[in-house]
Amino acid sequence: MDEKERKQAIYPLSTESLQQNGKTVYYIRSVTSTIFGVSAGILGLESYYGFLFYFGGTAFVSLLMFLLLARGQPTEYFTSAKDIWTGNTLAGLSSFVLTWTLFYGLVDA
Amino acid sequence: MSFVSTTVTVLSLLLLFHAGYSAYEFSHYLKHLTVNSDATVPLDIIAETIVATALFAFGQVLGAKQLEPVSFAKWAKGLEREGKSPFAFLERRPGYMNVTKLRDEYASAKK
Amino acid sequence: MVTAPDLVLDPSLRDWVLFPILLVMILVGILRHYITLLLQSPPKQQDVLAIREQQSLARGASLRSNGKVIPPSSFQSRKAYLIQSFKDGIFLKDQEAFKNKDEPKAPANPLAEPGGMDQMINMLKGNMVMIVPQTLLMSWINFFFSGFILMKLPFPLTIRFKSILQSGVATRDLDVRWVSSMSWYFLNLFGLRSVYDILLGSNNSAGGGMDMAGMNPGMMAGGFQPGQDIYKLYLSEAENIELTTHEYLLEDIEDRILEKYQL
Repeated sequence: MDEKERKQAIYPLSTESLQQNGKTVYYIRSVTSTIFGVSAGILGLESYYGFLFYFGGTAFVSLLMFLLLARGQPTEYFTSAKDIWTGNTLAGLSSFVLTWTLFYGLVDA
Repeated sequence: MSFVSTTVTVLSLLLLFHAGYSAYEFSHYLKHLTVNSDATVPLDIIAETIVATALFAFGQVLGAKQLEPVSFAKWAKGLEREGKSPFAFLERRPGYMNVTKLRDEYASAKK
Repeated sequence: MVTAPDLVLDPSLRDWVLFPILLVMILVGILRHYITLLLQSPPKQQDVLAIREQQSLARGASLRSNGKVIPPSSFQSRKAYLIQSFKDGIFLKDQEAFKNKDEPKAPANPLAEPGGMDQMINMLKGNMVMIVPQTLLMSWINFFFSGFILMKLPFPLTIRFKSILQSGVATRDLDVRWVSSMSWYFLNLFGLRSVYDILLGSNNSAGGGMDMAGMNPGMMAGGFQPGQDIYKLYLSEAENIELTTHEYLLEDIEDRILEKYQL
């Protein structure tokens, strides 16, 4: 056992809270990406600008989660600090495209 | 969901609805006017939409379930304080167990 | 930028095609979720020996991964016991068959075992619940709503998608961004996940197994497929235990405590 494994064995991680936190992040991502789609549709964004809007919004949500949920200490709640920035970023993309298309069509009546 | 996050979310949805309706009316107006039909959405609608979106994200993150500490020690400590220790089954073991009887049962099941 | 021929869509397309498809797909998803819940049969109770046969493998794996919390002497005795038992096959359900194992036997039929049958039926149910509504919806849309343009996508696609997205619309030069109801169906199929998450909670089965999360539990449950020769698994598990090096975690616990409390 090397030093890292040993440390992990002495201070184990709780898989249940990891799962719970992953679920929380996933839920926030999917709900917000739906609303991002609505906004992108209302703004009438097209092609690349829409996807840029999605990634910008996702980054904004990551920042909010970093500040409000993890209180600036993501390692307390995730295995690595980058999980809160990159985790599940593509989970809401299909929902985003759906509501984007829907509202793009609705607004441009 | 706390009161603040619910209020913020509802407010943002109202704003978003208003922005969407304005954009809809605007596109109607353009079609009837037929002057410069390639005008984009006016600035106030853009601002309203973006503010509503940001508010919605804020409300959702604020109202999300509290994250749980990933360190097993801290997590178990929190649970134990609520009286839901993950090791409760070890702490409330029966003091006496009739092993002979259980063995007999096992042996008869094996046959 | 090349501007597409500007089409103006009838608003009644929106009211009588776009919204109905969306609504029906959401409702079908919710229905599918509850049907899946209803169809879930509780796991059948197996007898003691069958459970032991399956779980002893887990016992070996558990010793390998958690052995570090027991002292070396305990680990050694468990190791010796498990290896011997695995090799002698004493956890096997069918001792008679094990003793006569040199005789050639027919390959086990997974359907013959009660557990295997159950698993097959469950998989079949899951597939039915997913495939039947999908086929019905697709033919419904094809029957009622084909042959016209329904909406405009906000992003351009390559010309290759034209035949799929504009199926039934006989216009050669129309921009690919104008699509028919079938594309709206596909967008819904993939994009409604979030809506279900909001409506039904995150552990729903409305997506109908489109997601990986829905498929995993069945695979992870046993790690044991019926029809496999379990004795071979025992032998490899015995070998794995043999190779495990044991390191006792509480070895230097005194030093660690003193260090932790700065004594």
